[in-house]
Amino acid sequence: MNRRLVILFLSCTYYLFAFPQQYTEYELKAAYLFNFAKFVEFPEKTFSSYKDPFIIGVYGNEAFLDVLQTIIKGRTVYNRNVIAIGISQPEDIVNCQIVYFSRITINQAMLFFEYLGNKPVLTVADNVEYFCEKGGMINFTPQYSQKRFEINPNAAQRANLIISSKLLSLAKIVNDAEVKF
Amino acid sequence: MTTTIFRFFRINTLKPTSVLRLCFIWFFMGCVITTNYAQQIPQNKNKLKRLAQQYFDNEQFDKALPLFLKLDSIEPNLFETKYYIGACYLNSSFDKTKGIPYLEYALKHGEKLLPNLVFYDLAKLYHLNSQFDEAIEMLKIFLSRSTKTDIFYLKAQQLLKNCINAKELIAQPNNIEIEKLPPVINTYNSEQNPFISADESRIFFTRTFYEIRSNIEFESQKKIMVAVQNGKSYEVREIQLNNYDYFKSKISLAGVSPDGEVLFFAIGTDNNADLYACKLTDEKCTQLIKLPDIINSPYNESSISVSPDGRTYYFSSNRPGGYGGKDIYRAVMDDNDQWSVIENLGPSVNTEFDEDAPYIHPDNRTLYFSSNGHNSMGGYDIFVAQNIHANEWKYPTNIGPPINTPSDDIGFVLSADGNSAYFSSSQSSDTKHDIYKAILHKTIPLTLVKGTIMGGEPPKPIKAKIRVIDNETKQPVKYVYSPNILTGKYLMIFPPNKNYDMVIEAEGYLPQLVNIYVPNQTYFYELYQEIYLKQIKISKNDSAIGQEIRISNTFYDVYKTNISDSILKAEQQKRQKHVDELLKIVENIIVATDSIELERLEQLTIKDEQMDKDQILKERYNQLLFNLEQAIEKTDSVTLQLLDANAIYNDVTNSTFFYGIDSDNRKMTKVLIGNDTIYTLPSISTSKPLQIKTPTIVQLKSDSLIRNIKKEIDFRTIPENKRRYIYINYVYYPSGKYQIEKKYIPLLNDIYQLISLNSEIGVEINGYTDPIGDEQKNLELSRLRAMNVWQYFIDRHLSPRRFVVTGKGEMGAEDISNYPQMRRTEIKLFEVIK
Repeated sequence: MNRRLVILFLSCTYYLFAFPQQYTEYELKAAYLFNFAKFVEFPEKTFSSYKDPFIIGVYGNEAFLDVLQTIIKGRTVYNRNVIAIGISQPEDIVNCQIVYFSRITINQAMLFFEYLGNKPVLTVADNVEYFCEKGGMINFTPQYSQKRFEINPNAAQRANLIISSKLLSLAKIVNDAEVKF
Repeated sequence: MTTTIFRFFRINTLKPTSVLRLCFIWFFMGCVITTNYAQQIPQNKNKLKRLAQQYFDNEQFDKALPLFLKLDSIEPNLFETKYYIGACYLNSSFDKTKGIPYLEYALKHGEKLLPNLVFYDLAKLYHLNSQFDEAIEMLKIFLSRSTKTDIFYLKAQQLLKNCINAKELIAQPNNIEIEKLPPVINTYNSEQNPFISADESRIFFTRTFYEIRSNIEFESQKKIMVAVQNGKSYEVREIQLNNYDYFKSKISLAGVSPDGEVLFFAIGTDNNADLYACKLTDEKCTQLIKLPDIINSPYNESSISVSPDGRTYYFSSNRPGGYGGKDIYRAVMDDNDQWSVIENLGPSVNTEFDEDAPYIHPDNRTLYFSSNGHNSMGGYDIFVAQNIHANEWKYPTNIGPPINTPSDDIGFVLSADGNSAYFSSSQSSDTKHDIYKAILHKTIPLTLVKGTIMGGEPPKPIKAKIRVIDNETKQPVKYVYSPNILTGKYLMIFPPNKNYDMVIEAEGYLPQLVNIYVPNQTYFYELYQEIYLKQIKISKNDSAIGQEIRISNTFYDVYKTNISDSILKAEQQKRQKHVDELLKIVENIIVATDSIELERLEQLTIKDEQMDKDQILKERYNQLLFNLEQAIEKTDSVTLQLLDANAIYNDVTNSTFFYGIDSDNRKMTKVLIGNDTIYTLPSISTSKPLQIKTPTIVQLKSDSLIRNIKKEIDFRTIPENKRRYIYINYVYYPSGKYQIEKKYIPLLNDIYQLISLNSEIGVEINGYTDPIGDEQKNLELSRLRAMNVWQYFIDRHLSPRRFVVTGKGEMGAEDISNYPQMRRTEIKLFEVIK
């Protein structure tokens, strides 16, 4: 028991030094989003030229878009510049590699899924109920959840995206078949 | 008293007969003392003069005074008599300042014949009478005419300093009211060292009794008294001390613990008094405990104040090693509850003069003490010093008149609400103190709301009118300023602990009603509010289908920031008598702040922000991204959880609400402001829970790792054997259908009302079908039935966590007549069995 406490204490102090700063929700989620780009393998045909930037589309939350743009400013993924754009309708997302849905209902999201079909676009949602069950790929869970996000690997597979096993091991795995009743 | 003896030598050197007369006086001394003291004023002028002179020389100024006055009436315009009268007043227990005209006359008519000292005497009287300019003039004459070896030279210099200080202090206005406590407390004797219980109902003090022996007043003994407030009057009783002999040593009250339950005494002689503590029960002190030796030294420790946490003692001592005279020290209890460190508060608090009577404010930062050094107005004055950190103190400030007077003012204690203070002062006589109460009008806690209102896409300032009503009185609140059209900025001032309704009438938008709750507070708060209105349209050309309002509140505890300092400072400088006036002042400040100060502040913050963005932000994000990448790389879920647990989730304060714009007046809330009736959209509360953010980046503390996680119950995880069903009802369907028929809407609405009002109720929704047809399809149908009912509730903003939704499929083969009952959805409400 005592040893456990000591380990707990040590780990606490370690994290105290490791994370002296407190981040906001948006900053944290933007950081996740950027890292998803690194840990998801996109098919070769995704980009038509080597100059094409890596585009993250944000739906429904301009405040988040601002934060995201600040964070990714000047950074690269796969030697490509990363940019973030705001999107408001399905037509806007054709050029995106990642789409982030915030403040969206599952029915609205499904309109996007229909439009996307099996295009290699990583769909990420901010805490949308049944997002993964209905064909979304990554969904952030509420704060204090045991796992930070849930992933539907089948949906990603359909879109020819390969999600890193590391990411998968950190996520709650959700399948299409499992209808949550 | 040596001064007066010295004085009559000086004046008598004027006349050659003086030495003879002196002998004569000493010879008759015995007679004088043994004579009956009934005032028999001799009618003979010479006899009168001689007797008066005798009293005067014997330092019985109170008795000499009427004789000289009589002499003055018989033989007016004699400067010598006038001088004696002035000198008598100066040393008497009567109103000393009455001596001023006599000394002035004497000086006018006999300047050359009177000793130089008369200037100093007159200066002293002027000083006591707060005529500081005249006093300074007199002192300058005295100093120019006397040499540095003169015994009064240094004293005159000190007095000159006091007068200059006093002039400066009096120039600063404030609205403190002073009242002398009633005669039941302030007797002929001396009352000193007041301390109060937390609720101000009891005042503890030391009463020094005087007795007259051989016609001279002596201090006889000190007693500890308590005055218990009873309505408007006080009942004064003595505090009983068991096992204490009043006659063996002197006792005085040294302090009272913050809760008023423990009394501290200084017991001993003038040279070696030590501090004792004693628990008070029924106004009796039963067991005196001497404080540890580290606090008590072989020197004089006479007063003590305990910090609210009881871990720091502030006390005064004249032990060697200080800065001279009495100094203030502090003892800090270490982690093992031992008094290990005694610190002198250092040269910013302690001077070569005396510092005494420390009193640490409950905020643990503000120290009140008395000193006759620093920029005293004369005698002891009360000062206040702020703790910067550890044992570092800001240079103390004189709290100024009317609390501080040219006489001794000592022993300042504040009431818990910070509005009244008690102290003792020797305003009316030289040696005897009385207790005074000061009403400070100090803390009027206010909340200042600074906000911006924006509308449209992209957000632009909009023309809007803001009105605020006090929910209790239903009266409009004063000091509300509608937004500036150009900037969208608006301002409001609220007294605390109240509920307000804010009505926002913006052009092109429906009126919005926002509930604001200002928490109970003791400090000056600022609330930054951002209101953002937006029309909701399906596409750009369509008409609006709804309206979105987003309000974010941030309470800054500005008391701890630079902004507050500037505001409080400005407020203090212009403090006035009544709340209304104060509000007016704050209004002025705001008006000023609005144009100049605010711009300056904004520029400052913008500058800061730029610095933030350019340097700090980059580093911050670098670290965040690095940490996150490393965590994913190592599949370290603990790090992710920690990052998550420490993130500030801003959803708490950002309330987003949608309302249909075509909604009829029934759904609108009626608000009456003055004579206007306004229909607004339903009230939204922005305040509970309020997220209090500090403006600086919060450092991680170990306890924040184990944050109190408060989340709603996820009813979906409750196992069936933990559910206690309290209600059940059904929705039935025609064969093959899953849409809810209209007749069930009232029922569903009733259920919705029930569950929306009771957050501790969970809902089980089970869909069923009859056994006709394909089993797999029936299962799907039953799910659709359940989902449809579920959707009804979800559309009304109930949390999905509260619903357990199941499609149960076929009900099993039964009689065909029961099939209509089988095509149903069960709605079961349940409580959780604990």
